[in-house]
Amino acid sequence: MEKTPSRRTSNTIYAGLGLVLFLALWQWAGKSGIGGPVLPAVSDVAVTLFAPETFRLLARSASSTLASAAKGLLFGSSLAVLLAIVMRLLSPLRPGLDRLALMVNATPPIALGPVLIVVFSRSQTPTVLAAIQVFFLMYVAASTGLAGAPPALRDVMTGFGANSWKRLLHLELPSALPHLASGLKAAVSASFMGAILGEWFGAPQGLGLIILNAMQNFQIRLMWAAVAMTATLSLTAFLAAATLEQAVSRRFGK
Amino acid sequence: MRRFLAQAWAVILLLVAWYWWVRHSGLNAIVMVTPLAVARQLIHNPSEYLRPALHTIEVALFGMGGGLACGMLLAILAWMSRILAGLTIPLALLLTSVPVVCLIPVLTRLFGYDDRTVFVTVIILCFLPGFVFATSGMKALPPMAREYFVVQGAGWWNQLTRLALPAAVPSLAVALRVLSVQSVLSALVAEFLLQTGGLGFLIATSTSDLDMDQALAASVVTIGIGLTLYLVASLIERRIVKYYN
Amino acid sequence: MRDGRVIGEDRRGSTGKSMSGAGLEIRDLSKRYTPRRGVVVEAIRHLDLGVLGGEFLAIVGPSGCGKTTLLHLVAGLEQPSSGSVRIGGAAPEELVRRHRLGIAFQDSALLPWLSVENNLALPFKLAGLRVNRDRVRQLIDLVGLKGFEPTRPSQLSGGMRQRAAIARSLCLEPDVLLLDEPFGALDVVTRRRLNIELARIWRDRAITTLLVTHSVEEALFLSDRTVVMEKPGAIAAVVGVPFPRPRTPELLRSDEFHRLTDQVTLCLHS
Repeated sequence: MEKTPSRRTSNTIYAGLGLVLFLALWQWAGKSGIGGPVLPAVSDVAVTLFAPETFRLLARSASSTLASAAKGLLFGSSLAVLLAIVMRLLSPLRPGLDRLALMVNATPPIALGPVLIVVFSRSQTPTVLAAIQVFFLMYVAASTGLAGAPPALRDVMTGFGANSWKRLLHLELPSALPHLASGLKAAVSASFMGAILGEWFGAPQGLGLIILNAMQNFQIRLMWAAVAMTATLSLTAFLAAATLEQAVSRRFGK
Repeated sequence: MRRFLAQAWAVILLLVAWYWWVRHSGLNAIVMVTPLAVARQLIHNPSEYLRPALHTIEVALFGMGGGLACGMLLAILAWMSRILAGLTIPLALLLTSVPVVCLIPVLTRLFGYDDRTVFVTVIILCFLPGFVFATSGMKALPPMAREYFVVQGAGWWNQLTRLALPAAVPSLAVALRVLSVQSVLSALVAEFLLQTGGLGFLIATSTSDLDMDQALAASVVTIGIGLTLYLVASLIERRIVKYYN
Repeated sequence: MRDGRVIGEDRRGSTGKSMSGAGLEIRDLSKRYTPRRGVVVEAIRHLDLGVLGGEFLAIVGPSGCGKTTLLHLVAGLEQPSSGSVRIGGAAPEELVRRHRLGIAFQDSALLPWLSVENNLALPFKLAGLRVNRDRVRQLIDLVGLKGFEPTRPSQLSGGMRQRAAIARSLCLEPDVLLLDEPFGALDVVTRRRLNIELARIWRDRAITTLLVTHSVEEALFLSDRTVVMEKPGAIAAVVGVPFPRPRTPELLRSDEFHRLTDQVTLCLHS
């Protein structure tokens, strides 16, 4: 059914209403004390968040977490795409790497924690964990994307005398871009999760660390403020990735 | 044999590299252990890992079931009320981008340092993917099927039980696969933070005691559990897809 | 004057066979859409049409002329902007509520997780009736799918799926049968074969039927009257189909049939 303009506006209105309702519910719950001292009202959290001292602390930690997530995203994606390209050209080796990637995906990050803090340092663990989380997602996205070029187009290229390398460059990579962009959305969230989890293994700074310490020291408002900041950051990154995906789809999609 | 090699070469390579690297990197043997030492740990002290493993598996499975059930319930409610759908679905989609693991400290404070909190945590973390998959599955109807049901005068109950829910089954099978990973992950993280029992707790304590043998052995067990659940879920998913086609 | 031009004989009311089913009365029907802000599209414009009980009416026309919209309005899937649709004197919603409509689409809309037999059992269950297994098997046999009762739709060819869909539409012995380009996705050979089948199936039942198609040959072979629609949403001509019933495959080879087909096709394209 086609979305008429009235339908689309009502959809956006409902979405906005949902968000407002959620915040209002939270505010009411906090003010009425239903959740006890551990559920503060939205307004209190906001006050704590924007108080200059806490804001500076959170901003510093945020930049550390962001850096880990971003580096993890970069390394994980690059390695994944590179490996996918190599595997495309060396197809007999592919099943083995697919199996490994599967195992990596099924591995709970917590299990990797001990290994990583030994192999790398405690401060590098967030980046590496983020990279590992990103790797599998982007590898699958790249592999499916590279394999997804329509066979008819592939035949056309072969007809023009293109070898595998040329075909890769001119056909398979461009047609893989929409898959990669869509995988990037999930990868962005995964990188944040990896970074936060990695920080819980003893990183010197970061939002995950703040959340954990605040929880243990019963600094409720600080904890909520840190969580709110994390959520906002990851949400923004996700929306940025989603916008990128739309742009890539328009340019390279069907 | 050839097929086995083709499938397993990367894993074998990793194990060999691990062994070689530990031997030749000059790291203190206490700090980093070889695959063999880990294997020895597991073979000699199975019960030390069995009980926590069972605890983790139990929490993961029941949490996954609970989360999926709650997600489906909300999906059905959203299916019945367009207003509810409009209110909840965009919010749910946005929430999938937030690292929900960072909510675990919040949940800990809300529900207390209890074993129940671990269980509740898993349910809440599995609820969201369950809801998203159930909702999209219920919308993936065969072309013109909905119109057929409408013209045949089917009531909402029939539309739900004979059309929307059966149509959602393939999507729920995928959800099962995703949740198999998510549930183990959530259970371990919660156990790691709350330290009330299970493999997560074991990993936390052995890491802080720097007892790397034990920590890595526990890690290997969790990988085994995660992998097994994932493979079982994949098998179920493949069966269901075959049945539907 | 284009509207209401009649080509050929008007055989309304002299079909000479048992008539069952309700009559259709469409009065001054209009349907308007607003796809974008400020843009109004008229899909149907002040249409008047009557169908007698037991009559087979076909509707042909170019893409976008509104013929599918018309069928949807009769089925109650959409509401008119103005005017009325009455089936046996009642509104479509009334017949839908009483499960008195039979419908088949271009997509077979069979449920992929049910066997053919269970797909045909579905109308009974949706109406809250006990499943009449004999009738189900009878219909499966009638459309030539005997032996395929336990088969899944995905294992059937397109033509076989459409046979099942048509059998399903007859399960509850509806007052009106609505067919929306049921053979549109099939190749010409299968289509022709299924046209002959449908004529045979319809022969003993003579249910009031509305067929929407873009094949003039199909329309003239099956119907008592064919309505030619033109963009946007109006009737260009009504053709009374003079050929006697029962319609046989030989008709498709006759000169008279080809002449009428050419005439109507010309009308369609002008």
